[in-house]
Amino acid sequence: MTFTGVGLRHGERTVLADVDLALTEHRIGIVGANGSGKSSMVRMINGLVRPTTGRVEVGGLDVARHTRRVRSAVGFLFPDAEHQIVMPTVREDLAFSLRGSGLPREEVERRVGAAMAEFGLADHADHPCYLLSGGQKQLLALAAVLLTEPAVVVADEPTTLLDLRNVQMIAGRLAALDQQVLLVTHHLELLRDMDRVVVLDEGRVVADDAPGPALAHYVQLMTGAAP
Amino acid sequence: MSWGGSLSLVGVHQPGDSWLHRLPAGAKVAGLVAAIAVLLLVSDPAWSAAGALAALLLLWSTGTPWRPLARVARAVAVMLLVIGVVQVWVLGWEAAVVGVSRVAASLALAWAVSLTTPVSAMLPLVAQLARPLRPLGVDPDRVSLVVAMAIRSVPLGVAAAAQADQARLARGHRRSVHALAVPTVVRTVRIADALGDALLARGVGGEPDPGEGLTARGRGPRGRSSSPGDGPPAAS
Repeated sequence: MTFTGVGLRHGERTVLADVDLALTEHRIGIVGANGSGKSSMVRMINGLVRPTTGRVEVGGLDVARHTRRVRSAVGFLFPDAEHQIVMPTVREDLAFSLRGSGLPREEVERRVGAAMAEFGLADHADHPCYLLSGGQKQLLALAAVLLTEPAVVVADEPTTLLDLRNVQMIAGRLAALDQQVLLVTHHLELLRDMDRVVVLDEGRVVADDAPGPALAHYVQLMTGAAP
Repeated sequence: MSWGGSLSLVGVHQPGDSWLHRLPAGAKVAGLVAAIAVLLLVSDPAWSAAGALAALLLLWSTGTPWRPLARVARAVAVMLLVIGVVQVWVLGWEAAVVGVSRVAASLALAWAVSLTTPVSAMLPLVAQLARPLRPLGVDPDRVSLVVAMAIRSVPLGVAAAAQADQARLARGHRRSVHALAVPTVVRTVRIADALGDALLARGVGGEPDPGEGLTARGRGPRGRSSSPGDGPPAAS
């Protein structure tokens, strides 16, 4: 994933400015204050937000030109999984991920069943999604994303609404993925094992380093104190 | 008002093994339409009442646990009682029996169909029914998706209203319709916006890429592309 001279403006307000990044590591963290442009930046990766200036590429494809192909390779987790779930029940929502895949019905059912078993959702297969707990909803969202076998998983504050146990569970799942993972979070402990951490402030990259120095910079930025 | 109780009105599918569960969705919907048509044609109070009783027996035969449905059933019973009283007063008791029986039977039959049929089984049927509209530019798959989204949106809308109601009560505006309506509408619009983003992220909708067919399709797993270079980009 590369950002070349990326900027974003909403009217007079600059959301992102002069972002130049080549994100090649396996696990990358993004951190920054509220309104620093984190969500806008990662939403550019699958074309949900279009840059005002510059260019975003995924796997060598310009997202602006090849949005649908890029989206098929980028799985996206939203902060509130409730709004990511499209179908009424767990089984149906997982099957929705394979809609239009051309797979035979039996194969779709097999993959959905395997995903439910892997993510501990088998007992809730035919339950209405709105009855699931917050952690189960985020698990369902992640399982639905992984069913499409994306090359990249972008997780935009996926643990914001979760308790500590569910935070750790989702973090563990993300850490175990073979895919390249881009994680936006305010939970600093989730970023300590990343390969690289990017710190945003007022729409600009102010630190881009290994977790130790990058998080130290962020803590100092937020509190004015040494970590 | 209990917001959670109203979710039962959605008639979410209840897994089971009754004869109605095993019947194909198309047969059930056709039977529902035919039964309601017959009910509308019958004007004899005894036959209408028998039809309502048969519909209730059919609902009972689905084996759906009664407890989750009880609250909504009570609300429906009160509604039927009010309709009945008004009709007795205005049209007489025979017309009231026919009217109430028709409504009760129709609701019971519709409930039985929705309780025994998963949405995923309904969608192909909806798409099939929308197929004649294709020459007019209507995408049948899109129509079925809209139906699924409408069903999915009900609990989200109810939750938005419940949150607005709780906020209204917490701030001491118990009687303010404005304090309920405005946040509910704002939340609903934001939910719709988020759902739209989620659909795009899950490969539904959006502009076709250069050289891609115009029909919007869902995406499938990686590695299914039929020609070199046609698949998604590899990870960086």
